[in-house]
Amino acid sequence: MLSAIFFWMFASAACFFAFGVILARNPMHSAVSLVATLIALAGLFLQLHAEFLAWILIIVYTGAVMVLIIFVISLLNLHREEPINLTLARRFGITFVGIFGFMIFVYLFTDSLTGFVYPKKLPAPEEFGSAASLAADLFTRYLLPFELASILLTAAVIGAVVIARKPCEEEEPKE
Amino acid sequence: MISLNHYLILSAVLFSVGALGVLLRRNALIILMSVELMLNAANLAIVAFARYPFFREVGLAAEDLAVAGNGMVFVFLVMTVAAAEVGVGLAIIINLYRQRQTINIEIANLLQG
Repeated sequence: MLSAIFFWMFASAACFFAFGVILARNPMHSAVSLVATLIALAGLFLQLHAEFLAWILIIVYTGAVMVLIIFVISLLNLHREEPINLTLARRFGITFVGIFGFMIFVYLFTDSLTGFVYPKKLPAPEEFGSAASLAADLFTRYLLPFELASILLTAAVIGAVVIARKPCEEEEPKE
Repeated sequence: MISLNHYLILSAVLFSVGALGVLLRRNALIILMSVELMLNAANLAIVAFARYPFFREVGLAAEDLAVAGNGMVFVFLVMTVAAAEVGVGLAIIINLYRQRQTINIEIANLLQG
């Protein structure tokens, strides 16, 4: 019962702040809403016994990624409002997303109404979702994807530095 | 009682909201944040599937736990990719702002046909 209360609490917070992300006029408000959404998602991860992933979500996302985004927002000093301009293609896309979301809704709801019920939550073993069990998987069976991820991160760091650095002296126009 | 469907519906809602953000907003930073929202909605679905292994009714055997761990590794790698994406995306946005003094993607349409 308590877990149901926590689920509804975190789920409603996640939905509320998710709408805040896309509806806020000020990008800074969007960023803070996204931080709140991610914290609510971390709470749901804890509900699902994915403790290590919940802490990673808080540390990596709200601690590093969102700080980076907020830093860029304040660096660029964006306070002008953007007019929302709906072209035909964009209206089409929005309709498509609406239909897509509605179809998932109908599918999942009729699934639970017609009696096809997914199994109940089983009691999780002690080590499920812990850092130790995740590391045991990550460093044995999934060693290759793990190393590829490290290569990807290195490439991303180099790419970000190359893209965002100031232009070279010879590239700069003479004033 | 909270079932897998609850988590899947929440995940679908968050994903749709993120997709709407990508379509509605013209600010590149907010589009980037909406993409993050979509990635995290997918992560929630993966973790929920890992927690509710629906291929066996009773008990959670050792091999089930191993397969459930797959979902955790998957989410871990998605988070890695998302972090890399944010790093490169922000670099591109900074460069765009340096060249155009705006991050409105309506104005940055050089590559549009």
